[in-house]
Amino acid sequence: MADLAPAPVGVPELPVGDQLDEFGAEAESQSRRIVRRFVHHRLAMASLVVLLVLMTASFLGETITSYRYDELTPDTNQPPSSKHWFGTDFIGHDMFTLVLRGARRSILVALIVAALATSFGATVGALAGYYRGLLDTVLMRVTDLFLTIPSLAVLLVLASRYRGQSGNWMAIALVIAAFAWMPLARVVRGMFLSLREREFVEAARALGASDSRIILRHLLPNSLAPIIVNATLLVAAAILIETALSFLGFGIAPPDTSLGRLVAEGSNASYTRPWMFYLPGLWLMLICLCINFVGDGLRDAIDPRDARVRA
Amino acid sequence: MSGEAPGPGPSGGASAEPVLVVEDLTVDFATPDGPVHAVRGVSFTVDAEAVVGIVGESGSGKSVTMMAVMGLLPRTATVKGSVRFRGEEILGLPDKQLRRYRGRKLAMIFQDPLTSLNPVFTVGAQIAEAIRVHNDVKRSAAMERAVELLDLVGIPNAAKRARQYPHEFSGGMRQRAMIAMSIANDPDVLIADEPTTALDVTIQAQILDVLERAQQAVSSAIVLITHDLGVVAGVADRVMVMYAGRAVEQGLVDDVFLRPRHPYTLGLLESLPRLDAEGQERLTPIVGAPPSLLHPPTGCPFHPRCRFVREMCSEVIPELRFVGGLGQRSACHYAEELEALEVEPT
Amino acid sequence: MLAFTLRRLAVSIPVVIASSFIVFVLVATAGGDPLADLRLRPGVTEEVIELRRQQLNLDKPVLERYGIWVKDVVRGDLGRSFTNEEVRPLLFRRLGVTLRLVVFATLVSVLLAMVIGVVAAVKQYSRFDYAATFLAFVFFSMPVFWLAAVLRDVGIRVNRRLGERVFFVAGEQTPNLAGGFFTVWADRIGHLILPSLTLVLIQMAAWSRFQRASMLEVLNADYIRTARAKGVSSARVLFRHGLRNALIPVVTVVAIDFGLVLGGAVITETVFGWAGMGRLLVDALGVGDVNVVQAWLLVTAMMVVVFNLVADLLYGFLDPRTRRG
Repeated sequence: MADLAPAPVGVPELPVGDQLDEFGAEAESQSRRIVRRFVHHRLAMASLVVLLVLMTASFLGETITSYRYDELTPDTNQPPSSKHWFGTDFIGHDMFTLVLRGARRSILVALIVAALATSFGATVGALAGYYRGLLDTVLMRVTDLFLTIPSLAVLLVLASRYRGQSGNWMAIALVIAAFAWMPLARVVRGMFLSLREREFVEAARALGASDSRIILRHLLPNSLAPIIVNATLLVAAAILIETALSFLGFGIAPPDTSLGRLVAEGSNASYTRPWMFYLPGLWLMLICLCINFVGDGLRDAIDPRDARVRA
Repeated sequence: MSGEAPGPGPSGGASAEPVLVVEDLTVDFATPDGPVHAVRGVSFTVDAEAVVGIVGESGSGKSVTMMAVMGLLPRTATVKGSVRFRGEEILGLPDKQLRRYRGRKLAMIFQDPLTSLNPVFTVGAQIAEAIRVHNDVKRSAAMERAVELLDLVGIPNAAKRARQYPHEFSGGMRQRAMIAMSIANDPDVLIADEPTTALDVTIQAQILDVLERAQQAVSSAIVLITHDLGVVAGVADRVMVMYAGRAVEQGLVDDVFLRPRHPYTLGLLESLPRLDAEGQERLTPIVGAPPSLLHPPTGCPFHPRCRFVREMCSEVIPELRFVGGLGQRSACHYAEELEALEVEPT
Repeated sequence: MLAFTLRRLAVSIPVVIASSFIVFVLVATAGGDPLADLRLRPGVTEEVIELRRQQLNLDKPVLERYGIWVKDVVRGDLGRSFTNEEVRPLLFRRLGVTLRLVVFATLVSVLLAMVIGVVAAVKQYSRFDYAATFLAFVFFSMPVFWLAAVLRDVGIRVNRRLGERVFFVAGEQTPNLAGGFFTVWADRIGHLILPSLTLVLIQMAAWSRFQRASMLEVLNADYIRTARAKGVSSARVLFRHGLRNALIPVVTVVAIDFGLVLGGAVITETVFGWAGMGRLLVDALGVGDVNVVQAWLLVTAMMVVVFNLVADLLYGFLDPRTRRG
C-alpha cells in the first residue's frame, strides 16, 4: 500500500543542459542583460542608428560631397539646392562640406574632452572615496574649488590665451576638460565610499589583495555604470560648451572650423541667409540629441526603475 | 476550496462570523517577459481575534496575497477572486471606498520600519494623521492620542519621542511606532508583513510581544506573514503554508507542525535545527530552488523538489482538501499516505 | 545651524581667494595688449604710453600686482578699468541688468519644471510624459546661443510680418524712455520676454527631468505605501507625502545650478545686445583688463558660494535627516 518510498535515485536532479538559476530562468550575465535591455529601448536604438549615420557622414566628409572645404565655387549665397544640399556661403563654399568638416572637429574635441575628464574625474573620485581621510578632504576641496569658480568665466579666461591661434583645438579641448571632471569625481567618490564597506571588499582584503588590486579589479568594475553614462552625456555637453566658446569668439580658430564656429558665423545672417545658420545648428542639435538619448538609454538599461514586485 | 471542516471552530469567538474570508484569490502581474502568476487560487478565513500565520519562502506569494486584500497592489496587477470583510465584498472596490477600510478596519504594518515611515514628518504627526484620516478630531487631540499609543507599545518618554523624527528612533522602536500607528483606529484585522525580519533577533521577541499586547488592547485578529516557522509556532493559532503562489497546507498550528500532511511543510520542519536533536545530525535542506512564477511547473508546483514524487504529481494540480484533524487541509495527492507512513519531523 | 553656516563660510573663503589668485595670474599673463588702443592713436608719444603703463601697474611683476589688488579689494576698492571707469559702480550696474534676467528666468523655470516633472512622474508612460521627456531632451541638446539667436530671428520675422514691434529683440530697455515707474518697468519686462524664454526653455528642460526622477523615486518609496495603507486619500498622499519629499533635491539643485544659469544668461545677453555682465566680461577679456575681470570673478564667485550655502541650509531645513542632533 505504501508505495511512497523515496525514489531510488535519491535526490531529484535538476534538468541537465540548461543552466537554471533560482528562478528557473536562464542565468544571464549582467552585461548581456544590459545590452538586451538597451536593444529593446526603441528610442535609444533609433538614436544610436541616427548618430552613427551622422558621424559616418561627418567623417567621410568630402568623399560624399565631392567638394573640398576650401573650394570656392562660383555659386555664392545660394540657398539649398540639388547641387549644394546645404547651400553656399558668402564666397562660394559648399555649406554641406563645411558642416561635415565642422562636425568632425566638434566631435573629435568632444571625445577628447570626455576621455580626459572621465579618466581624471574617476581617478580623483576613486582615490578620495577609497582612502578617505586627509586625501579625501584635500581632493574634495580642490573639486569644490573648481566647482565654485564660475566655469564660463574661467573658461573664457583660459581660452583667451589661445584665442585666434590656428590649431588651437587641442588646447580648447584641454581647457574644457579642465572644468568638466568634477561631477564625475563626486559620483565615483560616492560609489566608492559605499562600495568599500561591502563584504566583498573585506573578503578581498582578507585574502591579501593590495589596494590597487581592490580598486582596479573590484571597486572600479562595479562603478562602471555611472561612469559610462556620465562619459556619454559629457560628449554632448562638451559639444555645447565648445559652441558657446566659439560664439563668444574664444573657440576653435581658422583654418579649422567647428559646428560652433559655423553657427556663430551664420548667426548674423540668420535673417538674410537662414540656411547658413539653421542648418549647421540643426546638425549640431541632432548629434547632441542622439547622444543624450543614447546616454539616457544606457542609464535605463543599467538601472531600470520598474516597480519591483515583492512576494 | 472552501469545504467546511468538521469539528469545533478555531479559537477565538467560537461561533462568531469570520472577520475576513478570502476565496480563490488570484494575482497576476503584467511584466515585459509575460504575466507572472504570483498568487494562484488562495482561500482562507480569519476569525475574530484569531492569529493566523502565513508561512512561505520569498516568492511564495504571501505578501502579495495580503497586499491584494488591502488593495495596495500597483496597476500592473490583475486581481481576481473574492475578499469579504464581515460579509462585505471589498475586492475590486474603488479606491475611495476601500480607503474607509484601510487604516480603520484593516491595518497593515510592513517589514522595514525605517523606509516605511516618512522621514520628513515626526512620528507623532504620522500617527496623528492615521487618526485624523478616519476621525474628525482636532490636531491636538490626535497628538495626545498618538502619545498614548506610543506609551501603549512600550516606548519610554512617549511625549518627547512623539516630536522626534523616524531616523532618531532605533529599529525596534520604529517598529513599535508602526504598530502603534496601525492600532490607532481599533482595527478588526491587523496584518503584519514580516514585522521582525529586518530586526535583530533579540528585538524580534520583544516586537512579537508588543504585537500580542496590541492585539489584546484592540481585540483584533492578526495575520502574521513570515518565513520564520519559529515565529508562527509561538504566536499563531492557525497557519497557512504557501508555495509558489498556492496554499499547500492549512490548519491549526499544532496539527500542521506536529503532523504535517504536505511534503513541503515536512521539508520545512525537517530543515530546522532542533535543540533536542540527539548527537550530531546533519540539517536536511529541501533540494532545488523555488520555481519561476513566469512559467510555473505543471501539476503540483512542488513536484520537482518533492522526495515522494509520483507520476500524477506532474500532471494534475492537487486541490486543497480536508485531510483530518481540526480543519487541516493539504494540497497533496498523497496526503493520506503521508499520514499512514506516520512521517513526523525527526 | 549658525555654526554650520559659519563653518561653511570659513571653508569657502580660502576657495574664493585661491580662485581669485589663479584667475588674476591667468588674465594678467594672458597676452593681449591693454595699451593697444593707446598706441594706435596718432600723436601719442612713448612717454605717454610709459606713463599709462605705470598707472596701470603693468610694469610691476604679477605677484606684486596681485598684492596691490588684494589690498585694494579689502578696502572695498575694486579699482578702475582700462577706460578709467570705476569698476565697482560699473560692475554693479551691469550686474543689476543681468540679475533681472537670471531671477526672472529662474523663477519661471522652477515653477514650470516642478509642475511638468510631477505630472510626468504621476502619469508615467503617458503621452504627456513621453512628450515632456522628448521636448526636454530637445531643449537641452541645444546650444544656448543658437536658441537665443533662433528666437531673435523669429522675433524679427514676426515683427516684419506684422509690421509692428511685437517682440523686443535688442537691448534690455528702450533708451531715453519717458514715463514713470510702470512705463519703465513695462518696457523692461517687454525686453525680458525673448531672452528669458531662451533660458527658461533650456533650464526647465533640465530641471523637469530631475524633478520627474525625484518624484518617481518618492512614489516608489515604502512610506508612500504605508500612507496608503493608513487610508490616506491619493491626493493627500501625493501632495503631502510625495511632493514634500520630492521637492527637496530639486530645490537644492536649483540653488547649485545658479552658476550655470548665470553662464547661460551671459550668452543670451550677448545675442540680444544687452549691456550686462556678458558684454562686460568679453570686452574686458579682449584687452586683458585685469581689474574688471577680477572684480567680475570675485563677485560671481561670491554669489555662487552664497547660493551653495543657501542650498545647504535649505536642504537642512527641508530634510530632518541632515540636521545635526
